Amino acid sequence: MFKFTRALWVFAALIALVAVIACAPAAQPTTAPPTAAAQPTTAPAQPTAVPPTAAPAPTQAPAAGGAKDTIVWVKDITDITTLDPAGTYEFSGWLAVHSIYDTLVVFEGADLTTLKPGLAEKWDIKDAGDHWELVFTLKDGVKFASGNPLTSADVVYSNVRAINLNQAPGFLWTDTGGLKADSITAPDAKTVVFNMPKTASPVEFLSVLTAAPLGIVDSVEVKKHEMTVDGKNDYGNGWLKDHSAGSGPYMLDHWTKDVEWLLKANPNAAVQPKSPQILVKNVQDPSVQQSLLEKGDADIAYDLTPEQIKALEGNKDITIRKEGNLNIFYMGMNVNVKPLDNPKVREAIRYAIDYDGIANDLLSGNAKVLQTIIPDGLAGANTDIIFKRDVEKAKALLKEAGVDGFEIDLMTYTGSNGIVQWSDLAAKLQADLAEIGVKVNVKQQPSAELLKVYRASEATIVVLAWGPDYPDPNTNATPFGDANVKSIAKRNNWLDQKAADMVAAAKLEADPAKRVAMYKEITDYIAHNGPYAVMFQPVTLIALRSNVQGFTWNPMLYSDLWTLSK
Amino acid sequence: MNFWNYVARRLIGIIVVLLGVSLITFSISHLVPADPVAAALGERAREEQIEAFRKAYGLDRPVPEQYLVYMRGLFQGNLGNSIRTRRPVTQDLQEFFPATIELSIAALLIAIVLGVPAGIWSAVYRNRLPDHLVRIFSLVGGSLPIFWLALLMIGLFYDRLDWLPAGGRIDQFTPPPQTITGLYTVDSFLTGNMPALQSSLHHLILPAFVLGYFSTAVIARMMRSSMLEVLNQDYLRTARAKGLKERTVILRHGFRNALIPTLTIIGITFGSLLSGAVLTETIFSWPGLGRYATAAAIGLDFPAVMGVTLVAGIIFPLSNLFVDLSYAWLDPRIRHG
Repeated sequence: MFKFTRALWVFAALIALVAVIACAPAAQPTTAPPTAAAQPTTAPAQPTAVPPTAAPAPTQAPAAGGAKDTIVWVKDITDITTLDPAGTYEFSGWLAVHSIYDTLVVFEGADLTTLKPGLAEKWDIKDAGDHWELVFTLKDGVKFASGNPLTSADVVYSNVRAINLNQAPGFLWTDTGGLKADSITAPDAKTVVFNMPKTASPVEFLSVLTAAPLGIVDSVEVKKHEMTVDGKNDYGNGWLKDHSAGSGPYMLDHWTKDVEWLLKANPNAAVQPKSPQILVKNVQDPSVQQSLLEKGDADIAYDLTPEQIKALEGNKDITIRKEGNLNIFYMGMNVNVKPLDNPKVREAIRYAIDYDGIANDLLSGNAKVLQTIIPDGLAGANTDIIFKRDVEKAKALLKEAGVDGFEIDLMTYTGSNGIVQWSDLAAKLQADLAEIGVKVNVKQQPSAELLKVYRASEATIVVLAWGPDYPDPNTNATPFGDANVKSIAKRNNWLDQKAADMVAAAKLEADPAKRVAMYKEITDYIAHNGPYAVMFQPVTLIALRSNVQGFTWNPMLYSDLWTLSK
Repeated sequence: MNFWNYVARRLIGIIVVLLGVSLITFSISHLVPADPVAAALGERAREEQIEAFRKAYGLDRPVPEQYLVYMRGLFQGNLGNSIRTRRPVTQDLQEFFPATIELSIAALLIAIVLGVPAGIWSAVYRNRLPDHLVRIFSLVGGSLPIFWLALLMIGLFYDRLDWLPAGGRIDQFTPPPQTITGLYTVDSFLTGNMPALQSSLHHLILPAFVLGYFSTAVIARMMRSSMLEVLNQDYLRTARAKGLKERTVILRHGFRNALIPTLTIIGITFGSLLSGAVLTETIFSWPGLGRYATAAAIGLDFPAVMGVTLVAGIIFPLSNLFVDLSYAWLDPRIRHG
């Protein structure tokens, strides 16, 4: 009989050879990448007449110095479209930009109520009659990564370019601040004035100024890379997408779309980072994130599920952090749909919901009950427990409304919201409402489908989440309270002029204490009269290697990367 | 009609297929009851932002006009801008396609190297232990979900044994090779960059095996059945009667004839590997076209979906053409024309 084993041995030997090459111990990391490796795999930078000097070109170079000097953070970073502060409006983008660019004022750590000096050593709000003047005095001696000094001209340029580019965060200047390109002036090298209309709130805009898109860019450097695109100045937007020109603790080494971004310490920064490099790698699968973290190949994992977090809790090498999160989960009720037009029916639904059961059992304690539109963490937060589940009271309210049970559609997203499957949350609400005789038909839809219906104000009941755009209570109060801005209130057809007037007045109030009191009134009013049943505020689950030090968290969902070390 | 006429005819056929694919994909993309602007701009977008976005992407025009604009761009090599990445789709494809090609070729090589001999072995030892082993291997390969296999492999080879990395194309502390083809293994080989070659091979093994396992099983089963058919043919009896060694009989006379149906399967497999790469790429953090396509589909990124579909529309018929042409090489009786 033919011995076929010889041929097999040949194949086996070939496979073994490849395996030996591949599985041999990896070469030691090189401290300086060979020039041959300095080919960008992302988009090549826009052609420029002058080579960049502020920050290195994107090279996808290795993290020099290796694992010891590099904090490796794994998360899904496919949301990033640009790392130009004037265009970035994604969580993963803010995480990078926040540590590359300084802002005029800052909030420190998780405290979003106390403004601290950033690039500005002091600021003042002046009533100039027909407008507000928000005047900043810049600190001395601040330098960009290029070595250029930071002056008021850079602040003006950064804001003007963002207004003229009008990309995703553009509304922060134009809508919230009421600013135009000529609204920002620099009387001298140390002073910047924002001339704001009386319809805008300087207090609110000060909070906006802490946001990552408001980071100040090196105007001298960026101007070198300006191009004309479609007949307009791009203000260096094409170049800044994957380069950096900031004064923050880090500068961008490279961003490779859907792969990773690497930050390296900025030698000219006023605050030197604790770790020379931060590498954020795109790992979308939570199981793989967990494996990398457990093996020590990653220092921080961001997208782990509550079940994974629970499984890691006994691991001495891992520290679990449950951090702040300003998202609110709410039920929206379209008041144009009968019987939701009756306030008593909406109140009955609010009393029918088992808030504690959702927060403690369904969400395993990864959320706290929140029943107003301003979450814990923002100025003006109202964390009062207004509604306790009371089935009898809910039934009585329905009876008062003349409603004897009804059937209604509830729309929610498909998939998970990070702490629970949307379908599980909807099922729990379905069961709660069934007890008062309301039959809920759950309809799950992808976000693009659901939002189309919701935006057209044609949904019945929705169960969704909302996160703030910037750390000021008005970021929630206006969308939920004022239907004129065509946001959440309009989507639920709740046109309540009293609420709109209260929201507008609170927005413009300059006295912080008075403002907080006004938001208390607004949140209480909307809790009972609005078309919402706000249910809970989640936590952000983050797992770190236990040797990681200096982790800070901003509830706007980013971190001060420069304080990290291991 | 000679050989080149045949090839030309097939290539023209591919163009016709592409036109059909573009029309169908475009129509389906615009018939779904969802709003790409909602997907791109999210819940907070203001009306004027939405309008500006629609205008920028031409979504404010009638669908037939959008299609004509798209086709005009296509003939000029412009696939439009991705709604999700905000970059030209051609740039995205250039960036992500090589990673998928590298993974798919490696998976196919693994499938052929393991599947073909396993099929022969199984046929030669029909109903004996080797046959049973191969059949179990094939059954498992054909029925195991790819994401589950991927997680099992990571659990074994990364978590437990620490032999292979859990994801990515290259070690995070190793410089990638200079870009020539975009295939890290090929580029590092061509530039003599041994650390990169080693690291990229190291990273390629696990995803390629996971992606190729199903194909290995399919190829092994096809090879086995066609080999069994060939083994009973008269010409093999004649070859044995001539006193040829059994190995020569199997490999020279049997194998070559049994390979033709297997080759067809290999051609189809290559196309399916490209589409099967979606899950593998996600789990192994492999920055390829499959992951790009998934994100595009979820985000209703029509230009990107169109771009990926057109690439697939080229790859499938081309791999089939390649297989058809190779028939003649394997069996001189087959002539194209």
